[in-house]
Amino acid sequence: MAYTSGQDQNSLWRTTRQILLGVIVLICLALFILWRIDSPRVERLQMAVADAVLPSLEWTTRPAAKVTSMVQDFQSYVRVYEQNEELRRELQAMNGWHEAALQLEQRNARLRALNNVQLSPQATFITGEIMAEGAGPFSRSGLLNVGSENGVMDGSAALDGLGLVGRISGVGEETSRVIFLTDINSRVPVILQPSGQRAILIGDNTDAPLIDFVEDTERVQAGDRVVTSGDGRVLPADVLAGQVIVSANGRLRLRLAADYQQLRFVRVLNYRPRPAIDQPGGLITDEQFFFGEEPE
Amino acid sequence: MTRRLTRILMLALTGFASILIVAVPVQPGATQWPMPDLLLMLCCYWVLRRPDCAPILVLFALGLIADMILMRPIGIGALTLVLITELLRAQIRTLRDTAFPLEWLTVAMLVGIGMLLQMALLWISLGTLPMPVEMAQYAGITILSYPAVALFCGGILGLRHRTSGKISYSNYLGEG
Repeated sequence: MAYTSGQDQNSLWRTTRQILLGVIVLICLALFILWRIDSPRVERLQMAVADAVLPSLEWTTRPAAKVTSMVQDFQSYVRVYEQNEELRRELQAMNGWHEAALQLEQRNARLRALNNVQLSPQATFITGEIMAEGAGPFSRSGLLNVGSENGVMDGSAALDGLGLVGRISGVGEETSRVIFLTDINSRVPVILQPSGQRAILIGDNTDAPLIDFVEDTERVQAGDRVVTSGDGRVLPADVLAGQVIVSANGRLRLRLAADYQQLRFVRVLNYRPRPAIDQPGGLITDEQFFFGEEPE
Repeated sequence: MTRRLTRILMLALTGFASILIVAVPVQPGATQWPMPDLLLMLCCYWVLRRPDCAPILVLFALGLIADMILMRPIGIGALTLVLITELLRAQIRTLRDTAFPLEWLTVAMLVGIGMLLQMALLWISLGTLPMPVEMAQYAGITILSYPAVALFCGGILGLRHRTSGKISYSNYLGEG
């Protein structure tokens, strides 16, 4: 009696297990398909998890950052002499730039006074720290400790002090996820200067993203500046991304202006795209409102 | 029973810790080598040592959390984790008496198949595929981390094969 019931229980248990396994496999596949079809919804779930995990990330990130900076400090200590020379040279160059900047600043102030320019108050930014990274073959992205509570919006540009780092994709309450330009899913519309051609920046998990869809590659030279074009109204225009380099097989790539080696803090631009003017004004075509009323 | 619950809790905590270790931004953006999938290795080791203390639901939950935090394609990481551990669970009687290198080889093969499965699912759904070299690097570094995980679990957590003296009827039922 005891044996049979044990065996019964066993086989019952086994069947339950198999059903459970089947259900789990189905859930996984369903989630994957949902993620492929409607990623914003799954992303919201993902950011909710990130919000919940953030406190424990603090525990791991701080010591790791400390150790990394110690190692870097030690490395710089080892080559302190070279660095000193380098800094001297840089300082000399900087003196020249300093002078130029001062003059430009004065000139700018004069011109602005003449013009009575109003700078856009919308171009503010908030700085966040990278708390976690997804650095596998599937993604190059980071989790920032600023979120919708701090005014971060989906699609905002993320920069370090020097250039574009990536784009915000997925915002939680206290966290947001930045997709780096090197991520295989990253596509950014850019303009190559001075030729003024439009192109798309395509991440491919390497340190130098591809520049593709250039109309006339003859007119592009290595060292050309690459800035965002603002097409698609996701990223603001004229944010520096880097310089063109030509790889060994003749393809155009980008040397990133942002210093990815020392990336820890990231600025998120609080940028709202301006309303597009794609119609003639209502004033000329037909009279939609009288002068006393406000439009809409 | 409490012992078993403690073990399960321990698996959940170590699993979560391994996700966090992988997520630590050492040089975000400029990573030369991907971090290994420590969670997968941990779960493989755990399932082979204490199958009754590695419930499939806990493994599934850990896999899903890892997918979400490490920003991998949602769902297929958890799927691979669950499938690989189930395959190992089915082979547990044969693998119990084999030497560690052979066990390592088995795990390595399963990891390779798992990566192929992930690539295939992404390919079918018309996703952007990483380069095969990168996947190979990722698989390789994951496989290489298995002895380290084994050392940690065996040495520090004291998780080894149950010796024959300890096998009891309840253990037998638990493994069945």
